[in-house]
Amino acid sequence: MASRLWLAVHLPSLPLQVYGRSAAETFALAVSERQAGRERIAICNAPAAAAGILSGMPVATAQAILPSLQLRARNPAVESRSLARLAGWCGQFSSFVAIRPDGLVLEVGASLRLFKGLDALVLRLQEGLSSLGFAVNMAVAPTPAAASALARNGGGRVHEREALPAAVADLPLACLDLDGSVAEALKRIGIRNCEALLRLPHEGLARRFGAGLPVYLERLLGHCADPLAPYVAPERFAAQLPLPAETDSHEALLFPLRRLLLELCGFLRARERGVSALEVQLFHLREAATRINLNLVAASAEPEYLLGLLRERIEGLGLAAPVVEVGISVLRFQPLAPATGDLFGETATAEPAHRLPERLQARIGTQAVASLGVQADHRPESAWCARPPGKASALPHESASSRPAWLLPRPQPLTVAEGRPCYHGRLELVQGPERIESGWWDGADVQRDYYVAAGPAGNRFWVYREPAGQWFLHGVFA
Amino acid sequence: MSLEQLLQRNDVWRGRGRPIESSGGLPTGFAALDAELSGQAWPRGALVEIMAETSGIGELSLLLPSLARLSATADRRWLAWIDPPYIPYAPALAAAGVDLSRVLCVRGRDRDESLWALEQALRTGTCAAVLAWPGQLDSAQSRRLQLAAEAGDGYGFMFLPAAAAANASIAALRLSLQALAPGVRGRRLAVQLLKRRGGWPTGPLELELEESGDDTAVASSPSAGRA
Repeated sequence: MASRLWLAVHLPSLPLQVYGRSAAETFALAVSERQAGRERIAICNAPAAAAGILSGMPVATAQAILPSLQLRARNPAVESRSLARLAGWCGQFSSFVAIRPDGLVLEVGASLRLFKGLDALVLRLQEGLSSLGFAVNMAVAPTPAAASALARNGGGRVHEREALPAAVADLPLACLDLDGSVAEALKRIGIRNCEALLRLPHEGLARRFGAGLPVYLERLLGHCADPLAPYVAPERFAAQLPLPAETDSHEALLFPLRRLLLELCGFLRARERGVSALEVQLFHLREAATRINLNLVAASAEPEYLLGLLRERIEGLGLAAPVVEVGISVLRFQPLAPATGDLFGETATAEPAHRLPERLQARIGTQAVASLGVQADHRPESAWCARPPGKASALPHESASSRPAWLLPRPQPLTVAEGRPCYHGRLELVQGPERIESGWWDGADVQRDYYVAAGPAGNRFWVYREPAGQWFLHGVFA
Repeated sequence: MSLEQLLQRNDVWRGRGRPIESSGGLPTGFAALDAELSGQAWPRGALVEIMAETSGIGELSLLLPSLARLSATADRRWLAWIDPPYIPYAPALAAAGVDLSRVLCVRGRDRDESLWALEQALRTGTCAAVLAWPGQLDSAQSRRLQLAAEAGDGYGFMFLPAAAAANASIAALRLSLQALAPGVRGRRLAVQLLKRRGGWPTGPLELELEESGDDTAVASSPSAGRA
C-alpha cells in the first residue's frame, strides 16, 4: 500500500474571497465582523490595503479613509458552503478530502502516479484554484495535522515521518489547532513555538490543559492515528456567487459564471459525470430571479464550451433589472461517454456533431431546432411530430400510398370553379380518392377524401375534400 | 510534351470535353445529370443553387435519392433543413429512405438568425448535407456562405426563387428546373445547368422522378354534395 501523504490547502482570506472572486480585483473590498463590541475590519484586499485600510480598524474609520470601499459582513454560512463546494471540486485530485475550519486536507499519496508526481499535482491544483479565484497556501506532510499547520505557516513539504519534528519545530503556536484559551495559557508560561511545546512532558500537559492536547501532539508527529471524516459531496450541484456590485452588463456576468462553471466541471470530473441540463439563475434585488435553461444533446463536462453556449444565450437576453448574484444548478447528470475515435472515419469533423443543435438552440431557442418523427395516426397532421435533435422515433414506418414532401401547417381552403378546386389555376385530379376517416376518440375527428392534383404549371398538390364539399390544400409534392 | 501528356494534366481546362474525374463523391441518383457533372457527383464543399419555376414540381424529389444515400452511410452527421417553407412531412421522407433522427429542422425567428444558423451548419462540418431556403441573397452573403461551405466540406443546397437565375452567383453548380408533361413512371423535370464546374452551361436535361404509390386514376369524378 502506498504510504499516505497529505496535502493541506489553507485559504487565508476565505471570508474575503467568497465575495471578491466574482469579479477581477480592481476595487477595494473589505469584510467586517464584530470584534470587541464594535464592527471592525477583519480582512481587506490588496487595493484596500494600498489605500491604508488595516485589519482591526473600526469600520467608521475605514470608510472615512476610503469612501469608495465596498464593505461586506462576514458570513460563516457562505464560507462553509464555499469550502464544501471546493471540497467537491478537489475530488478530481484525491479520493479522500476532509474539511478543516479554514481549509481542506487531501490524501494525495494514492494519486501521485496518476498525476505523474507531486510537483505536477501541486501545480495543477494551484492553477485550478487560482482560476476559481482562490489564493491559497499549500503544504505536504505525512500527517494531516502537520500538513495543516505547515500550510497555515505559508507552506512547506515534508516527506518522511522522521523529519517531522524538525519541520514543525519553528512553527508559531498560532499555526497549530489549539483552543484560544490554551494558546493564551501557553504564551503566559513562556512557550512561543512548537519545539518548546513538544519538549513539555505529556502528563503535565494533560493535567493542566486536558487530555486533548497531548493526543493532538501525538497525531501531529504521526505517533498515533488521526481519523478524519471524509467529505462526501451530495449528488447535486447548486452554487451561487454574490457579485461585488449590481450590474446589468452581459460581459460582467460572464466572469463569475465562468468561475462557477469551472467549479462545476471539477465536481463533474471527480464523479466522472457530465451535465446535460443546467439552470442558470440571475438574482435581482427586488424582482424574481431570471432563469436560463440550457439543454444539451450529449452530456458535457467542458467549461469553455458551456460558457460559449451561455454567452450566446445571455447576449440575446434582456435583463429586467440589475443582477446582484448569479447561480448555477444542475438539473440532470449523466455518465460521461469517453470520446472514441472512428477507425475507418473518412471525415475528421472539427467538433462532435451534437454541438451544432446545442449551439443553435442556445442562440435561437430550444423549440427552433428539432428532428422529425413518425407517429401511428392516419390523420396527416398527427402522423408526424417534432422530436429532440438526434432522437429517433420508435415507430417503424409503414409504407402508404404516395405522400407529399411538404405539409402545410394548416389546411388552406380552396376556391372551386366548375366543380374543380383552384390554386393559382384550375387543378386536375390525378390520383385518388383516398378516404381518411379517423380521430373519433379525441374529438378531432376527420373525414376526408384525399386526391393528388396537378396544377397548370406542372406542380402537384395534395388536396382533400370534406363531406360538405369544401376543398382544402394540405400538401405539396415537392 | 505531346498533346496527350498536356491533356492529362489537371490544370488544363477543357471546354467541352469530359469533366475531370475524381473519386468518392455523392452521385445525384440520376444518370443523365451525373454524366454532366464534374466527378459525376454533387460538388463537395461548395453551394448548389436550385431555382425552380414554381414549387411543387419535384425540386425536393431531385435531392431525396442523395439524402437517402447519405442516410445509409455510417456518417452520423446531420441533414439540416434551414427555414423550410412548409413542414417537412416525416412519413414521406421516411418512405424515401431518409433517416429521420438525423434530420435537423431549424427555424430562426428572423432572417438574420436563419442566415446565422445556415452559416453555422455549413461551416462547422457537422452536417452531411444542408438544405436551405434563404430567400434573395446579396453577393456578400452569398460569398460568405460559399466560404463557410468550403470550410465545412459538406454538401449545401440552396433553394432560391426563380428570379435569382438572372443574377450572377459564385455557387459551384446552378440548376434551373421546369416541369414537363408527366411520363410513364411519374413526373418529369427539365433541368438547365446554368453553371457547373469543368464545363459550359448545358441543358435542358430530362429527368424522370420515380414516384412511389399506386397509379390508379381518379376512381369517380367527385360531385358537389356527395354523401
